[in-house]
Amino acid sequence: MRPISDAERPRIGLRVNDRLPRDRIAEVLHGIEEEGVPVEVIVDAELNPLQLAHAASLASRLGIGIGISLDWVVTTTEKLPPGRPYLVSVLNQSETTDRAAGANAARLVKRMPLNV
Amino acid sequence: MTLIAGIDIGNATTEVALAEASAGAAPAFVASSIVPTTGIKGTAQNTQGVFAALTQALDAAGRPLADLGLIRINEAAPVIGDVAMETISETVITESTMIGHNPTTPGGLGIGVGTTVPVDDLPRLSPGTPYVVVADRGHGFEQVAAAINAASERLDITGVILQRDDGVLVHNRLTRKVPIVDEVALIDKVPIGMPAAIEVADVGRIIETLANPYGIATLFGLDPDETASVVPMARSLVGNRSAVVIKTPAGDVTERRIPSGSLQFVGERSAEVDVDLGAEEIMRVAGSVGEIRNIKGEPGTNVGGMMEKVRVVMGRLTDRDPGGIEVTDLLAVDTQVPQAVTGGLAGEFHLEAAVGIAAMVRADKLQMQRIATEMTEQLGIAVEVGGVEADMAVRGALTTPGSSVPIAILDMGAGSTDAAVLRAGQQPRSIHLAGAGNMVTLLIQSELGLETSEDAENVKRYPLARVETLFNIRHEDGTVQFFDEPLPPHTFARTVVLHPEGMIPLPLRQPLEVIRQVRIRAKERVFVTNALRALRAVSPTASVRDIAHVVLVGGSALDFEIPQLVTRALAEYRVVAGRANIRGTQGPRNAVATGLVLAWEGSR
Repeated sequence: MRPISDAERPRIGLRVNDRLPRDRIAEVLHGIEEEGVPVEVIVDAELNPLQLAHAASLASRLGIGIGISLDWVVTTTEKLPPGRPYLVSVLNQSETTDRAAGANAARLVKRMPLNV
Repeated sequence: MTLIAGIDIGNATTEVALAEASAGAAPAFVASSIVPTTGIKGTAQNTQGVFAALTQALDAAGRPLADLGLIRINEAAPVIGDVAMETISETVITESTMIGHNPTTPGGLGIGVGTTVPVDDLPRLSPGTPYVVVADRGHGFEQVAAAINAASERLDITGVILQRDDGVLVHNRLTRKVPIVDEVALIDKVPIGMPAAIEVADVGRIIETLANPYGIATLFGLDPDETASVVPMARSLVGNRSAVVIKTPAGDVTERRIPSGSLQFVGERSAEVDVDLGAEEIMRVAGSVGEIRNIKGEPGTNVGGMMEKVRVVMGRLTDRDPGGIEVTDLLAVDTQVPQAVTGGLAGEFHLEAAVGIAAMVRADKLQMQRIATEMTEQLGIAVEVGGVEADMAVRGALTTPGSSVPIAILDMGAGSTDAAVLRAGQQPRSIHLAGAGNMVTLLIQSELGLETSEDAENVKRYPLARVETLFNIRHEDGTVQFFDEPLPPHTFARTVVLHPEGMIPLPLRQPLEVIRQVRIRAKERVFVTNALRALRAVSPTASVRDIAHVVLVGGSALDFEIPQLVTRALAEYRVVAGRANIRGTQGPRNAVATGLVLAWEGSR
């Protein structure tokens, strides 16, 4: 068996706008980590969080994408159109809401009830 | 020719059968209707519903009110039921000796034994003994991980107990991996400086060592007497994915019986029974006194208070002195209720034994005559009380194609199960039994630990499904249904009730099949039990087999599975049982109203 490359590994896609400071997405990442699901973070020039999430879901082998830009965390799946994401929350409202946003993306993968 | 209306005022619905009747010929039914009953059955508020139901039927037949020659109403079954639940065991943890819960994401794997220490004390500790680190909400995962990593070169750290949901985050940052139990809500109650054991099982597995008394004995070096005393603890940890056991000098887990008092049955003979002996014994004693005239609870006990509550509620509904209310039947059912463990640290629940009791009281018989007089005044049409409800129901039920005498009807309502039996050449005999739809709701609510009776009512009434993906659900029978629009996030991966107005997610972690079994067993324990009780009571040989046909009527007969459950249970006695189909068209509805019209000929 040949080793699996990073691009092939099943991961949640997370695309974040390049002007957003990295520390603002920390709790979203912790939410995903606590649920035990791998994530790939890509920095992107796109400003629209809907487009970021959509692109991230298409690139993710798990079909789940998160887009973070401006003040929004958008979670969607590859099966939904860009304009109709599955979950939307305000970024950095609190540690709890950011963690929940990350955990929910992971729970979509694990098919476990969401924290909504 | 006379246009007559049979009107059945029930607990939940008011039903009308409208027929053209003439002497010497079978009545020709022209219309039926059904509306919700207004007010409590047997009170003056009923006339509004009666008028609405009449109007509906007359409109359907295209006839004016003036054509109506006679109205016949039922003499309502003089019973009302009530339900209550009494827990008879409880689990108490003293000195916070264990934590047994299922956080969704504990950290690490395996078993760790050591002395409990606060995370802030780590720099001050001396090596030589193993430690279990305790960290409260004030410590973030990075801080906890850093403190443990800094100390782990020097100290032997074997496990971590966390208040936050940070188990995996801490675990990922540890240089030396240990099992971690998180989401321990009342962490400040964890005793410090005591020997503790932590166990976390792999995904999909349950703990094995701490759920085994000898496992605990091995870890703590217990003697045979001490081992015997940890049995309740081990037992209450069975099935968990993670657990903590702390050995304190006086710590213990006990399961005790709550003295709930005794019930006294007054009938041809008198007998008393302790409620903690359970439903089977209560029902055996209830059956030993002959026809029950009254049932009393021991004053000053839980069951005494419960029976008193029944009397007060019934007294208010029927406008009588509570002291004069006589409880004439009772159905007790053993059940298990998830209860918060006293002294638990992580919101642990334990299944406690409980007894559910449905009680039934006799109500005033004269009220229907009062309603009839009032209606005559309002409508200007002759209104007569047409006979005992159960007898009318038998007459109506016999219009079900394929039925014949001897026949029994089971009227499964909300408060009581009423039964009537007709044998060739005899007057119909009727009985009223405690326990019906409301009892089923109570059992479902308490066994699943649901907060509202609305959720329990929904579980009772509608089938279940699980939302599997954004676009599909799997029904409880295994079939899959797809949707064009994504299902709402609050239903995702949950067990939902398929309410006609949309899916209702249930706030439960149990698998769908467990919820389904609770529902089915609740229905069986009430309706199958009562079907057998009713048929035995009216059978001359006390054998259910003597009844050829059992026809199910009433609201609960419309349930999607109760008729099948009763049919299946009675098939063992070679009894044909099934949902009624009144006049071949009305299903289990309209039996009494139809019977009232059919009885008109005989009453003249």
